[in-house]
Amino acid sequence: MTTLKNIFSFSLCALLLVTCDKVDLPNIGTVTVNESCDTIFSFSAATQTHRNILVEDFTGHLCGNCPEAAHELDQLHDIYGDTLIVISIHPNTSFNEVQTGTGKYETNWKIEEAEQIFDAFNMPSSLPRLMINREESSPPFYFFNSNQLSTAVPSRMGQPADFAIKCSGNVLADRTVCAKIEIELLNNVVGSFQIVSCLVEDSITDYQTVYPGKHPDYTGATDDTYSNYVHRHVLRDIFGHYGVNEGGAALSGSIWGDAITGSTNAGDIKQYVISSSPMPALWDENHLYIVSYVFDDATKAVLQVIETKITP
Amino acid sequence: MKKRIACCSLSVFLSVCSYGQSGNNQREIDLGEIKGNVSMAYQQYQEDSAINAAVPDEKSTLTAFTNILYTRGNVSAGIRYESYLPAQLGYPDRFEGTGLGYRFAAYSTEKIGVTVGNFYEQFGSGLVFRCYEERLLGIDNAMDGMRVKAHPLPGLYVKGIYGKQRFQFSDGLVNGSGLVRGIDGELVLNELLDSLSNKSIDSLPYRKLNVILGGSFVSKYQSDNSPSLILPENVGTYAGRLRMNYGKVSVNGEYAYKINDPSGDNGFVYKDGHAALLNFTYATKGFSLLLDAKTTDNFSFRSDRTAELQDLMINFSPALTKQHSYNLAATLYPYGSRPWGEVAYQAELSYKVPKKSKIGGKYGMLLTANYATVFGLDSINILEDISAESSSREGYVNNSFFMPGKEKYFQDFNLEIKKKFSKTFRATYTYFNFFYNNDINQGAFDNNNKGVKGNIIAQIHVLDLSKRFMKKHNIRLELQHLSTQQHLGNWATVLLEYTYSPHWFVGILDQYNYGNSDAEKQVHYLYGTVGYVKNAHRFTMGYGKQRAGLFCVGGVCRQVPASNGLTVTFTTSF
Repeated sequence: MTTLKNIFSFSLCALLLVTCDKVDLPNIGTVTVNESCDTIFSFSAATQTHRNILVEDFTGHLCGNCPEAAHELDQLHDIYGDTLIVISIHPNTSFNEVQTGTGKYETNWKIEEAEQIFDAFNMPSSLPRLMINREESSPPFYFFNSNQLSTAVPSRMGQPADFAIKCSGNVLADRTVCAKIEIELLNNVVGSFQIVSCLVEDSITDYQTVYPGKHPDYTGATDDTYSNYVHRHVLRDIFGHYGVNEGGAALSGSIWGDAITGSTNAGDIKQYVISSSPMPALWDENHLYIVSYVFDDATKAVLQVIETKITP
Repeated sequence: MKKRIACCSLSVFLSVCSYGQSGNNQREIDLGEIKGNVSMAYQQYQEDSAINAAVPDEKSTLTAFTNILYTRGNVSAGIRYESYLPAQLGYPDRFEGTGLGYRFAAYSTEKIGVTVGNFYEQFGSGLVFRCYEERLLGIDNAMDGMRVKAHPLPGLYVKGIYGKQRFQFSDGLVNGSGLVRGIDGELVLNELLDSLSNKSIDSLPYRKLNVILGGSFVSKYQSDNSPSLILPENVGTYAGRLRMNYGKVSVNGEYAYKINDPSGDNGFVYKDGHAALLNFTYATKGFSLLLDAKTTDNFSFRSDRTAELQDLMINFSPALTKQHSYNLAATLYPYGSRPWGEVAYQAELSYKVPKKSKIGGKYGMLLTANYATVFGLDSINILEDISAESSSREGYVNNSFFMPGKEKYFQDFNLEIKKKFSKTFRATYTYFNFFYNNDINQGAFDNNNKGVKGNIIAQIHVLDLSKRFMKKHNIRLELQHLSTQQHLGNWATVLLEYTYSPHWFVGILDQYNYGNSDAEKQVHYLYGTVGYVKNAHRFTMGYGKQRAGLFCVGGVCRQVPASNGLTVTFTTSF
């Protein structure tokens, strides 16, 4: 009996000595404004006088029908080039379940902002669903199905723009992305407008379920699982900003971005400095883009969008 | 070497056989005992656009479980063979294939018990640790490792656990990556005092008061793989509890604390977590009163910080709402508890109107009123840039413990009147009034499968009549009606069951959404069942439409899609 008591006393002490890790300051590094951000630019891009199109593709790595929409978007991109900008959004649904320990589908594509966008526009849980310029498909629904892309995208091409966007910036030594967004009013406009910038990574090879016939590049797998699937335009982060024209404390990125303040007359120019946190090592700098878009706060419709590659 | 092992094995086998044979002639040899049970469910699915019925590619599913348990003296061992070929719709989609899903070996005496392999366990009310199986929901977070139970002193019971948790099934058990370890002690004060006293137990003055004290400590480990945050790899939680009863009064309470545990559930904030559960019961002949209160603040505890839904939960947050069995009340607006933050209260009053009184009649009448309400926390967000280096990422501050916040999540008032009119006829009437905040609960979807915005208020009336005749025959009729201005409008439900004892039963259920604003969606969900029971064997067959809805057990819910088709189930034990 004494031995039994000793064993338990020892076990109890051993377990209680398993420390709990108390973390006081959990953030690694600080996001700071680098003055070189708005003086030396390693990348730059600007819109033309027409409106580009933003397609947000709600998808998931376990969604076997989703590659059909991605393939459709690839084909449209071949036709319309940089005037068609795509963001793939992985919401927090069962299609993006992380299958830890299985050797496949272990990547967590989900980010909080993706879920916020998914919720804000009341996307149905069945995927793929798409938003085109955040315009309503049939009010009050914002979503389109993949078979509507081939008509809905061309019909929106070439419209005159009220806003032009220019994005210039650089990648700092600590893998922070810093950029200046310049918005020029091309016409007098009335209303409330917002600017959002986000970071998108293209061409990530990872697992994806592809049902037969949903993408011509992926065929033959008996379990519909493809480890060599190339994920396009994945939303990684939404930028925080540093206020208009100057530095200051970074704010957390919001899916609604920042208000475009002051007058909105033709010729007005607004400038925003944005910065990311240091990018994780897994993110491939050579495949990263900043996507910036202006939208009407009342209708949520995207009025202009630009995609800028962060490496020359 | 192989030959040698084979020879040894053979000789052992032969010796066991010969020993067993001689035992038949001379004396009983205990070869142990094998018990088991089997349950299987086959479902065949059909297209049905009227109800958006889901159909898997395979068109049919088979979910089956076989438990085999061997016991000999103090030793036991068991396995569970599981098949998801594929799993029925509504199950987590990471259950697939066929193989062993549970296996264990155990040694147990009065003083000590050791289990290796899989086991289920709970500390206290489960606030810091509960691993369990709820097959109907596809939940199984069994531990895989080692458990030791000991009874070193009179009244003292100690349990220790160490292992990983079951996460998924892919032709066999697949565990999550996190480690879970914990210890729980319980002191039954009366047993301890009894052992110290030389007097007879019944003469001791404290015998009317029973006191049990308990305490738990549970810690998890998961490596820090974040590029942007310093994540705590070891996260501990502890709890203390007290259970007392004195005559007709019983009081239970448990408080639990958790150190910083950033996770997907809390948006990676580093705030500490708290939870508390209080329960008071008074029960006497014909009358009982139950009062419950609970608060959970940032108290979701998983062995994987990125896990979601019901995956890899280490702890359990019981729902302080009554679990209903009538179809409309059980599946349209049930409440699933929210361990990351809620304050809940429940009261239940039960009174039996005496027999042979004016209202009670010859057999008496039972009245039960239950009221449950759930609120969000009374908290304030900390306005800061949580990505700044100076930020402690606390997220929010809770203003008051056990006090409700401004937002009401759920409310359920129900009144049940149960009366037996004769030896062969009885009736139950139940009224339900639900308040369901769908912005929070997100269990109600419109005709386009989009979440309904705002609050839903629903009233349900149920009349349950049961008549027995000619000894072996019984007919039961359920009439249900739900009215709501929100969601899908009004519903009416009729259930008719006929039982021919002791073997046969047949039933038909019709749920009619006659108040749906879309005429095409005013569907009859018709479902028929026939079953046969003999000894431990039960066979049922059902056919028809089943409505999409939330399926909840004990405050844990899963969304189940609409379906149409044939269901066959079989259970037996041996």
